[in-house]
Amino acid sequence: MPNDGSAQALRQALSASGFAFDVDAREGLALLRPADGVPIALDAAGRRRVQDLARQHGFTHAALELLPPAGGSCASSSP
Amino acid sequence: MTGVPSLPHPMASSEVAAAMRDKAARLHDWLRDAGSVLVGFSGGVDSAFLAAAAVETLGTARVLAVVGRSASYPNAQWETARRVAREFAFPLLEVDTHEVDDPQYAANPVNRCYFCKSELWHVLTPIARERGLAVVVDGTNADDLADYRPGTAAAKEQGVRSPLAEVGLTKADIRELSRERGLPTWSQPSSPCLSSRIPYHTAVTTERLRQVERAEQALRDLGVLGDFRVRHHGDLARVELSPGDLDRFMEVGAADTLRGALVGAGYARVAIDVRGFRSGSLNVLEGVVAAGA
Repeated sequence: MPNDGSAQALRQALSASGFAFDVDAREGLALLRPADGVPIALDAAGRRRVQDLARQHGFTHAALELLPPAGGSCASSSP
Repeated sequence: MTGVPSLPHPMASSEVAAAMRDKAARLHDWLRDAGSVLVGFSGGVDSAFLAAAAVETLGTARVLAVVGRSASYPNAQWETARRVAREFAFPLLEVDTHEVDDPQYAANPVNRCYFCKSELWHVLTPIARERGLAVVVDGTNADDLADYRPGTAAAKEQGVRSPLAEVGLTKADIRELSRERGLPTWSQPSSPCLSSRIPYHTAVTTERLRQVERAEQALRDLGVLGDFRVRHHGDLARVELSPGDLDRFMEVGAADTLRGALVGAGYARVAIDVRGFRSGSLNVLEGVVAAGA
């Protein structure tokens, strides 16, 4: 079962792939939260990459938390 | 409809079609031999087809479709059940079931479905006896036999039969045969009970079920169709969407609309599963079944 260490390792792997997310491990679920607090859109390729990395770190599921708009700004992420 | 193939049965060859026809003929033989049936009817693809086949074979006087209503049974599904029964002239009876009041069910163990089905068949079996209906049947199909389904044991214990599975009819067969009959359920997504949105060992309560139902209705109101689920993780709603809706709601503006809808349904936090809809997702999350690729 993934733990805080897995979450930290996943956070680093995501960062290395260009995704700036904080990761909260909830059993097999990796809950991803944009590190800068700005809502992020993930395209299909980005979702596949995130899912693959999560699975490599022992998570069966990964979910992107939706944040309220911060002053209307947003970012798109597909490195 | 999203999540359901536009050509539901891959008729790769005439042999496949012939095999399906043979299974359908055997189903009619099975029902004829039964003489009269009470169908555990949910308004879903399988039980709607079974009820239609039973009425075709036996006529309305020897068939009764019974819906078990409870907090875990979605209102949208109930409406479908009523509509289908009306359009296809199934004799329909609605009864209340009380599985949520059973502490063994409410504790939400891995075999929760066993307690639900025990309650359902405990209510329906006496109705069959009182009305002189020979056999109680459910809509379990041949594909279901390979799934983790603890409710099946409860059905067996109470002598409930599964003719669709017994003659080998698969979900794809049933969708195709339903389409041919004009049953509106042919393209309907699978619709398990609302408790399936709550992780095992998190108590099932009427309040949580209502919250999930409000959330899923809010998504329907946004035009979300096909297979989707709102998974309940306490203050967090984790949404599993079909591929088309996943593309749509991963856009920032649409994502905020979705978030607002689910906050309105009572969730403080909302997340979109990056893989999207998976049947039995919580079974995978909790290691009840192995994760697929």
